[in-house]
Amino acid sequence: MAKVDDAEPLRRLIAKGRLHEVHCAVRSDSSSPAGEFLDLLKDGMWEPDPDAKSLPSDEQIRDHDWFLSAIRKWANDGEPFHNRAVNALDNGVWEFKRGAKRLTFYDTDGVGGYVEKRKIVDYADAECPESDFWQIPMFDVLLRLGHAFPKVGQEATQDDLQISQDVRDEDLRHDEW
Amino acid sequence: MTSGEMSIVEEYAATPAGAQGLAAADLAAQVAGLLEQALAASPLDQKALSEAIGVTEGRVSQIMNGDGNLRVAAVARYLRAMGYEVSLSAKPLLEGLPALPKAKRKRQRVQEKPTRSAPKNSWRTSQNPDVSGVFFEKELAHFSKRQWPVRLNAQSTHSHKVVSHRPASAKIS
Repeated sequence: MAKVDDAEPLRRLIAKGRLHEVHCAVRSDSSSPAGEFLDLLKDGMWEPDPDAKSLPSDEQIRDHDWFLSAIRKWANDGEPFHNRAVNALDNGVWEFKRGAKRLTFYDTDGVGGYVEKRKIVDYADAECPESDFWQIPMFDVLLRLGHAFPKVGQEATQDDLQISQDVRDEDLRHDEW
Repeated sequence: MTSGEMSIVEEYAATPAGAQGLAAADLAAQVAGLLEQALAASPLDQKALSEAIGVTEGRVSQIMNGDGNLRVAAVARYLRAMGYEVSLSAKPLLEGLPALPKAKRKRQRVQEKPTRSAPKNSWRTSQNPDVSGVFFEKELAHFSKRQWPVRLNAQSTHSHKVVSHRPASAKIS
């Protein structure tokens, strides 16, 4: 199990909205994959991008804006602009999706805990039945951006799914009392 | 608690490039959302839509995912194929600017033809009092501001230069 520093991690606040505050998760080694991903996109220099023919990539700069826009939208409304902009992965980890780029997120109670938020299948179970996005449950106020990865096949790789879980585990461990 | 802390989005939106980039991303995402809703409401499925527009299903899928860079004209085509037409509005963010489009009275149909004579040197001559569809540069500039319909490829009996108002990429139906 990875060691976690005792010092409180410095999580970058990406967006605060009507419903949520969205921070970058911090791993046990104090790295912040989501923050690094957004920084590299902003400069068009995210190397794992399978769509980029060369770097710097203007498309990545536009994707950076798209991710910030999508995060701001979610922070305000608790849902995306459109259904295909997000996916539910495993164990309550979700992802923003843009082309072949994925950025995971999850919610937390702020003291190291979480309740898995799964995609709602039956309309009768909808928490927001009046919403076009009734399949999306209500998330806790605090959201964290976790792992960023390129998706090149039909599904996310087991490695990326595992890293997504690891990032959440390490990040939330910082908050445990 | 982070209530007083400025977020990355706020910092970015405070710069001209950031504000513009976010505005562009917001609009692109709204378009994707609108197309998604239109497809859900439309009797067409993705395959039928691709056939109606004349593009591959993969391209439609890309657009519906919000991944493709879509031209304004293509947005209109996609929505029209699904049974919708686009209208645009702009919300002012700076104080003193009006919402657009401005509220305006619609023109009324003319009940009777005006009886006053045409001004001197007018192209609307007594021999040809109603050369509808033929506009000259001055008149075209005037009328086009008011959304007057412009007929294309009109023949003129005048020696003035006839101005075609046909958009380069438009098809005449």
